[in-house]
Amino acid sequence: MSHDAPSPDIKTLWQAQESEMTTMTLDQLQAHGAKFQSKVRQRNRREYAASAFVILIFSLYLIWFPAPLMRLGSLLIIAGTLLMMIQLRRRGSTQALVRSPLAADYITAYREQLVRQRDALRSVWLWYFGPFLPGLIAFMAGLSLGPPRLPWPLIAGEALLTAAVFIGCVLLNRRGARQLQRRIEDLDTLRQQTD
Amino acid sequence: MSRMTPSQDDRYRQATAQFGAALERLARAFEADPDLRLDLLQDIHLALWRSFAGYEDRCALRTWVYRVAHNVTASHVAARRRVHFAAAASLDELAEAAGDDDPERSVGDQQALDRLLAAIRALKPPDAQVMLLYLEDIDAAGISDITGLSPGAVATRISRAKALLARRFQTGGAR
Repeated sequence: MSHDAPSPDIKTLWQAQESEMTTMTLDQLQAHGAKFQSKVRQRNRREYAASAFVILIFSLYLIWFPAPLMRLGSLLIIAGTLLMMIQLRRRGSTQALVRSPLAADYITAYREQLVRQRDALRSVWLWYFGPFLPGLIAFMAGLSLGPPRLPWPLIAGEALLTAAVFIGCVLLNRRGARQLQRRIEDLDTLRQQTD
Repeated sequence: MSRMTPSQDDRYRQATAQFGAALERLARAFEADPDLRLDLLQDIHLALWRSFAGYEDRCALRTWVYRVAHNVTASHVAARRRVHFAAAASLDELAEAAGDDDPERSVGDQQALDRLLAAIRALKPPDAQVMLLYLEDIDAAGISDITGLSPGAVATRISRAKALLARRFQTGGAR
């Protein structure tokens, strides 16, 4: 057999593989669709539960802490959490997930998917972390001014830790966005290739 | 979920009657885990059925089915193997990795299939798709329509896919 041409058997072998499921009934399709939507709803519910917890804690802070700045910070964090929940609902609904160019050619569809992911990562600081920033800054300022007056190393440590987590998340997301951008550029090159 | 219209249902049935087995092979090529493979296959069928709501004979049925199926698969692979992306190889790299004196070139059918699946899973997405469509006997123009690659780029990749298959696989009478 020549090494320059593949064995004709490999195609036959590939196509002759046994099939187990070649079609689905309407009931099966509906059940699978419901399962998919249920997974998305479950994920959203987890996010909402976490947000509800944050709102509960800062509502209690609002009542407990007498310092005006801490109360203002708590109020802003609650508002930021609500804003983030609205964004999550807008971006993560099942309707948004099924709205993709499924019947476009592969490069177009894949590129669009990568662009969507890249843009989400690029803007995550704005819609996911951003809404919490004013509240956190006000709360920290309230903590440092008191009452109750906390030792400044504790406050500085907390502020540094919070800033580090924020900056770390933003940098990681931006790195992810840059990697996606490189893949997008690869696809663009691929599309322009003629051979 | 909205109610299925007869034409949507008919088109789905027609598509799966013609391409159902190919869709299963596609899922097998990209997902090794049996449970996740079934999940992927069901995702493909669901997306296909949904897509027929807006089909309106915009392109050949075959092109439509493969586009939808490959796009669902690409999303699945991207979600499952993001970290593996950088490690994926091109057709050229895989062909070079398999020398002419590979002692495993003559293998049984099942082994050949297993190795073929492993080779496809190691390829970068566009190369893997061209390889799969070539194995399904789709011509270069059809592959170009489905993938969005230029006919020239498809021809080059088919030639590389043939070289890779020739170097790595020798089945049937060669045993």
